[in-house]
Amino acid sequence: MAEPRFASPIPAAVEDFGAVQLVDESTRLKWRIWDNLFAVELGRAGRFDSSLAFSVSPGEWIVLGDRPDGGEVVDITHVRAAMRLTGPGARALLERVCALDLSDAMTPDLAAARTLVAGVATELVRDDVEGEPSYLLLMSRSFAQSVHERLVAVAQRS
Amino acid sequence: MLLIVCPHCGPRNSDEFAFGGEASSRPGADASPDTWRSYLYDRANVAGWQTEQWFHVAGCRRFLNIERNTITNEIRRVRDASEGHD
Amino acid sequence: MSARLPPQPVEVIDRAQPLDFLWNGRWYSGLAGDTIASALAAAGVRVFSRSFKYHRPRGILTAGFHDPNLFVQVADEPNVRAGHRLLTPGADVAPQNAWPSLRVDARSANQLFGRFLSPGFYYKTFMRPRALRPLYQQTLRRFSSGGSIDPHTPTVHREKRFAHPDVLVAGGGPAGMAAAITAARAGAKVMLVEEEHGLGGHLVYGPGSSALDELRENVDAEPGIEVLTNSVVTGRYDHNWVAVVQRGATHHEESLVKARAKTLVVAAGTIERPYVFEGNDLPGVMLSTAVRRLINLWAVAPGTRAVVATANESGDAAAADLARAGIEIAEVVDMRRADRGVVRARGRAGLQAVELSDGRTINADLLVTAVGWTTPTSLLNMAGDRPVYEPRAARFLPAALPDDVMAAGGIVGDGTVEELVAHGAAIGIEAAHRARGRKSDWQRSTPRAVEPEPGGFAPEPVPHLPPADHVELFLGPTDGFVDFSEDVRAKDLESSAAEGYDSIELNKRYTTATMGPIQGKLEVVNAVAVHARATNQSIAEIGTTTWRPPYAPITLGALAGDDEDPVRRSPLSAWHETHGASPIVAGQWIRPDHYGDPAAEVRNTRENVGIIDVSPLGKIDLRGRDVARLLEFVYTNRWARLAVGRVRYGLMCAEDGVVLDDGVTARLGDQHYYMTTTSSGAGRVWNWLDEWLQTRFRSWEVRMTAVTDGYAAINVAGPKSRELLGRLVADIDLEPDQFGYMHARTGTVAVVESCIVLRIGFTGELSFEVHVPAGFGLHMWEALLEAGSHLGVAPFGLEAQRIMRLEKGHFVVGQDTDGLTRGHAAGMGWAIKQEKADFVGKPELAWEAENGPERRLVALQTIDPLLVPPEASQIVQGDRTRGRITSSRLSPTLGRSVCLGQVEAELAIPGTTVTIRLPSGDIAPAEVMEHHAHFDIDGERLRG
Repeated sequence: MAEPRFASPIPAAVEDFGAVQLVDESTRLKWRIWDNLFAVELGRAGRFDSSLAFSVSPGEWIVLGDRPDGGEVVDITHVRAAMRLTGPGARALLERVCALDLSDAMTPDLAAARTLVAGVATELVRDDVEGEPSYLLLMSRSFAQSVHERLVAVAQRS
Repeated sequence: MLLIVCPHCGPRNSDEFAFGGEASSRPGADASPDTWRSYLYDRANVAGWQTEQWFHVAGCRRFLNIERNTITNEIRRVRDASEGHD
Repeated sequence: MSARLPPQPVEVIDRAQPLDFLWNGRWYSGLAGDTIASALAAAGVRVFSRSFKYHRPRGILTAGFHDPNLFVQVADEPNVRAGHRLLTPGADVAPQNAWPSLRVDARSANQLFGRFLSPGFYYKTFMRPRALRPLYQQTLRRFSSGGSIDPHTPTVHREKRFAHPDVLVAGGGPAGMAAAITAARAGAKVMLVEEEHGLGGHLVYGPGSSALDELRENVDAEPGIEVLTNSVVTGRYDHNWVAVVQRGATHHEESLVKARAKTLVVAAGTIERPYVFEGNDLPGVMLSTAVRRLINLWAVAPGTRAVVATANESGDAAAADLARAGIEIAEVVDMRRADRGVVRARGRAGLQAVELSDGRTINADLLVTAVGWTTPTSLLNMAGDRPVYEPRAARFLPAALPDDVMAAGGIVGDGTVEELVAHGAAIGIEAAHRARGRKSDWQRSTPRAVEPEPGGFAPEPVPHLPPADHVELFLGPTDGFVDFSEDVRAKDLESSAAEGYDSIELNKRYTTATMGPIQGKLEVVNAVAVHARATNQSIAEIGTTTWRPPYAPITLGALAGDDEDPVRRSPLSAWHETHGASPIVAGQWIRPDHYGDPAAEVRNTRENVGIIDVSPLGKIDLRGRDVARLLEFVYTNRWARLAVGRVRYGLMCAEDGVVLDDGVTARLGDQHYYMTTTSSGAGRVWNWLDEWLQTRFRSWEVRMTAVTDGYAAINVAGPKSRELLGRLVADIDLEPDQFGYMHARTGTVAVVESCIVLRIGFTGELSFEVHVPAGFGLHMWEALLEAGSHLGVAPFGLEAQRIMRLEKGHFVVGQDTDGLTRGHAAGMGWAIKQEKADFVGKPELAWEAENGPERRLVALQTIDPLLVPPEASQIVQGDRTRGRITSSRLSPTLGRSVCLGQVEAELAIPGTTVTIRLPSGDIAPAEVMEHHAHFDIDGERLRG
């Protein structure tokens, strides 16, 4: 029997539009927990070694990275797809499909929110990379291709 | 598009929410049939301030009680439904 | 023939850049910077269109966006506003509503029958006989304006975007620019929206003004101002949700900006109002602002010999412009004097002479009118304001505005440029101050946001900007057009009022005055003035009509934008696509309907083994001490004693007893359950459980995770399913005594760990449903196909599933039940445990059980075995409908048609023969069956 190969719902690993890069991060392990193991407040994210933890709903946290230690843990690696928008044009691209106020005052680095992106409920984490604006988007896996196609189409027109 | 200031998420467009109608309390299982029918089918339908249940389905997924003026759409209070309502 | 003047001081045309374009099939030449209208006017064109009802020749009236006479077709685009649209090289421009030509319009014969076209003419004339209405419609459509649409126009996607300005300024005149500048300097993020192609408002055609240069420089210097020219604020909705239509600089694509403005500043200025008198629509009769725009912006002589009827500075300035341009002024009529006035304009295809109130008739081809202003209060009105008429200024003024909307500049009052700028500047600071307060509130209420900065600034008092006195001039002594778009005259409004339409809101709807493409911007106060005179009221008593969005028209393309409804795909979608599946959209999901022959898929599943992708099934992971209590409450049946490793079917009803959803739930561990729901009900059930947990059972310990997308679900069904799965499992014993019907196991399948296997069977066959982590779904599917190749395994689609479900009589929520079908009516009494202390729907289901359902879901078989009555066929008795077919298929297994249907209770007795009325009108008898299942009624295959 062949080793099972993880298949991402996102058709392209990397799409580069110059001002913005769209990268598939669906393979990252993702966990849902109900204990504030990382001391992260609602609406915020925190970086811990190789993990990223955030909360968009009271009393619940999502962790990307190694399996958290302690409390109830549900593996949502396969439930969510993940993609990352990075670059100086990332915010403008998101503003085409997302009504959230993404200004630095309302959505600074390490802000986390669940909101509609391209019509799909999405966990949005601003997770800047080396000073470059970067947004991590997590959405239900079945919607991922649709959202990805929309982002690519909008980026190509912009 | 109303703006609802969610107590957990901040200001959000109303298309992230599902409207749940007038807030009401479920009677006990032993309530009279009239009480049950009233709970199921009677609505005050007020013109003015009303407490409503909304669900932030595309946000924090919390049920909220919102005081909204049905004439002006003014919203004066938004609370998590777990806090109950007046 | 050319009407182009020598260079003017502030002209916006580039004389070094000629542009050739087509008008009505002939080549013309204009200049870069021209609008279509100015280029045509420069070429000597005076007639641009034919009017809506009477097909009267029409020319330039305002020379701007809101000119009712300048609608043209440009290539495949109808209703282009030639007074606004910039000329592009090679543009193919044609007149609208003129057939066969502008010069000879066959339909202008309408004028001869003008008396027939009184208000309500169409309503009264073309109603009867009813049978002729389609003919009327077809004929009348040829007479209506509106250009033509090319169905082959290529699809383009228009952009849409969201914006969050602190201060949004509608109007880029002196006050709007000043407001934007001071707001930006106070730290606000500003969006400045201007309808024209450049900022400046009325200053652009005034004498070269240093104030304008300074304002423009200051706007440019503020990085906090986003300037959108050739754009328009079309609507203000609840909580300052503001729609802005942004147009391309040189091409026409519109895009929609959806802005949530913290403060909206309306600095829309004023719009010049036409005067009502006979002949006021003749080409050559223009507003003073049109004359000023033509001369100053585009160096076009609006005529050769002018009469100027002026009651204000704008008229005086137009006279000065004409004089400077060397155009002969035959007469200046000072309308401020009660003894001076215009009686009528005369001419046929254009103005030839003007009759004055002193009895003189003066030959002229240009009559300039300057009789007053209308305040475009639409946005204020949309914000709840009811503007009030001020007779001394002869215009409406803002009255009471909500806190997040402010008005600045000419819409409020009059003043010098300096006074308008000072007013705008003070409003800008106040707007920024209010926006800052709102922003701080929002930051404080948003946990992710940055803490608001402490401190603020003290806004300055806003200087008073009173409106200047203006003589009330609306209606002349003769009858003329009030609404140029809709061809409504003063006497039409009067006769409509006399007919009893004595409210302005009724009168405007009956006459359609203010309801044409210009939407009342020019004509509303005149309409109110006529109505006031006709009903013996004052203008103030009548007030304005209600303004609704959009302020300016929006193309459907801009509204549609590039929004697309998102679709959901299973982890196996790509496989289905490449293996000939015929796709069907089910809810948001794209699913395989079949792979070529659904009947063959059914037979293969019944004889060998089939696999179906059921990934869209709703799946909810439930953990915690109180899960069983929750299940007891939301399901109608019992759950307290479900053992670990067991699966149970559950029925959910709403509080009114109506069937909400159904599915199976497995107990995977002591405090760990795995619920499945219908595909379409997944979200509803998830929300439903959350609602109870959050609003009623707050102390219960239940941790719920929606995992629908986390598992690919594959149902392996058929007599050889155990053998097939046996080749792929290592740690799960599939033998019947170890893994019985309605049991669940977790383990490794096809080398994939953490799979959940449920032994259930909606197809009626021995079947195992494998739930595999979604990322390995494709691997599992391919492994099943490979391992089963010698067993005859083949995929089956939704259609085969529907057939097999129906053969087994399993109803589909929402297909066989509807919004009134309670649990007992669905035949589910066995799953409703009324003895439980409480559960959702209990009281209503108890009532239903006591009184008996009005209708019941039953299985039906047609007497003619090969007749398949279409779904929704009615079950009738005489003239009465007594039920309907809810599902029907030809069963490949039984070789006959099988149905489910809802019938009235007294027909639901097994053995009853009912009558089905087919869409053809034919009737077909059918028998009510004892069991819902048509096939393997005892379920032996299932339990094998």
